[in-house]
Amino acid sequence: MQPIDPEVQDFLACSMVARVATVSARGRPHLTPLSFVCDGGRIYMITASTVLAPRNVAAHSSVVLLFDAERAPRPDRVLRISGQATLRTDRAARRIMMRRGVPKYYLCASGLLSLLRHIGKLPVWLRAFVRGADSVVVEVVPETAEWLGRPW
Amino acid sequence: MKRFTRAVDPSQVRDLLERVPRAYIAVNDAGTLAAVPVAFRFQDGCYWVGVRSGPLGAKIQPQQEVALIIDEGCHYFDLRAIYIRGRVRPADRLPNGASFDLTWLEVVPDKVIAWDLATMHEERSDAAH
Repeated sequence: MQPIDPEVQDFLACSMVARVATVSARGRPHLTPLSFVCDGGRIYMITASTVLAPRNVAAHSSVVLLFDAERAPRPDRVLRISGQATLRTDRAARRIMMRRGVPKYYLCASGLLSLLRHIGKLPVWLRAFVRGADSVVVEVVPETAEWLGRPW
Repeated sequence: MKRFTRAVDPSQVRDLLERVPRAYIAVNDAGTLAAVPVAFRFQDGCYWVGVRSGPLGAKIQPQQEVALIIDEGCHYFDLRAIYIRGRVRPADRLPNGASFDLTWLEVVPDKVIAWDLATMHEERSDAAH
């Protein structure tokens, strides 16, 4: 199965969280959940530049992503995508995150409700956003995609 | 110097361990990164994972170092997670409610970290985490 298959793209469209597996320079596995967007056949995630995931990507570009289709009516499987990741700090990458991420995570009913529930956190979130130098965009070029059964 | 953090004490998100039945596990299998979904139970202070048999499940071997994540929430401020780094060992008993279709392993943690993005705050960069 190819990552560009419509079935894969549909599943990604229903998924909200990517579980990102990376490996450190010393060979130690790591796993972290991140919000993500898709654009031009690539997958983008933004995170703090100081945490393990981007540091691991700098050492080993191979990553594995697991998706659960949280928004699907009856999700019955997990999508596993393997690919190569690079770190980007340029404005174009941040624009992709904004253009795709704001509608996906904020300009929808559930996103607006979440935002309202946490409205008090907006100032600190905005300060973190403005201080963009603390963050990095992880760009993943998918290479393989496969379906895994849900063991739960 | 201050930095932004969403780390919390793991006890603050303990309900995830007791309520969420799913997790994801990653291993470095002789230089090849592998990650699979697993069933998850937290009982009697022990972390159990149920792995499907098959080529991917077979990559998770006893004494292997693993990374385990249990998460919940879709939107930014709703996301909470517990990350466990440790080693797996064969389960000497099955957790309550365990499916017999799965191979059950116990994860013996070396390190446990928790995040709750709703608690995002600034702290001095020399603070512990």
